[in-house]
Amino acid sequence: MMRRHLLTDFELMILLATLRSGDEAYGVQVAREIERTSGRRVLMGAAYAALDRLEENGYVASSVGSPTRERGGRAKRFFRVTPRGVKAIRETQQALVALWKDLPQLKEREA
Amino acid sequence: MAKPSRLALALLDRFVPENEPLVGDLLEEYERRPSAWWLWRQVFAAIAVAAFRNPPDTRPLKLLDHDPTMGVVERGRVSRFPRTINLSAGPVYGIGGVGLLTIVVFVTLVAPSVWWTLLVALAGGALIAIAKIILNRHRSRADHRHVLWGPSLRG
Repeated sequence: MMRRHLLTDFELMILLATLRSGDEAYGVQVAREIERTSGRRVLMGAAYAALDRLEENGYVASSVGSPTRERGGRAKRFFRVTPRGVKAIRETQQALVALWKDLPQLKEREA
Repeated sequence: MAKPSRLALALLDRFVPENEPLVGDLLEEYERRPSAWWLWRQVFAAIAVAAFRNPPDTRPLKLLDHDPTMGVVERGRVSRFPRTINLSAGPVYGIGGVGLLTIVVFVTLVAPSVWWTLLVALAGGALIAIAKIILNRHRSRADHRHVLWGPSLRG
């Protein structure tokens, strides 16, 4: 069986939030998207650490924007999910769905 | 409008490498929710994560972590802040300048004879190294002769 790299739950959330944020996804936007959809509070340092790790694995690519005044003259770092990242999301989803299937405990709750 | 703590930002600058986007994000979010508690929580978490991901470099003999030509792009993104090296650090991971000095003072006070043992060990190591160098030179000369004249002409 081919070995796949499955994403952690936080990595998966970061990638999905980055996808949802579109082309202009940057730290604050990604964190807000996760907080809005899941209610989970995001630590920016942890989000950047996860994004760095994802970039090292080729799942996201980043580019630096221009500095803005509201950010104290600091530039934004924009992220976009690469085709490899989309593939990793799909594989993780398939693995989770496979685990989900045929569980009587979950079926009872659904009913 | 409340201003973010300068100490918090200074700590980020000191302990979190390549922090420009992170600091910008924190400042932008601080405008929306000006809470000192929130900012300090973010700063401490960022420092903890950075410490875990980038353990301090303790090599004392290198002035820069990067080759100057490699300093511009690192892992596919711009890296304008090459990590500096702590010149007072010891060669052992986790033991910095002050830690090393403390150990030296402690050993001198409690068991000064340890220094003699260390000196003998160093001298022994140096003697073994010299002997190995001489032996290797002797061997390489013999091999050279073997290559030049072939095995039949030896001895």
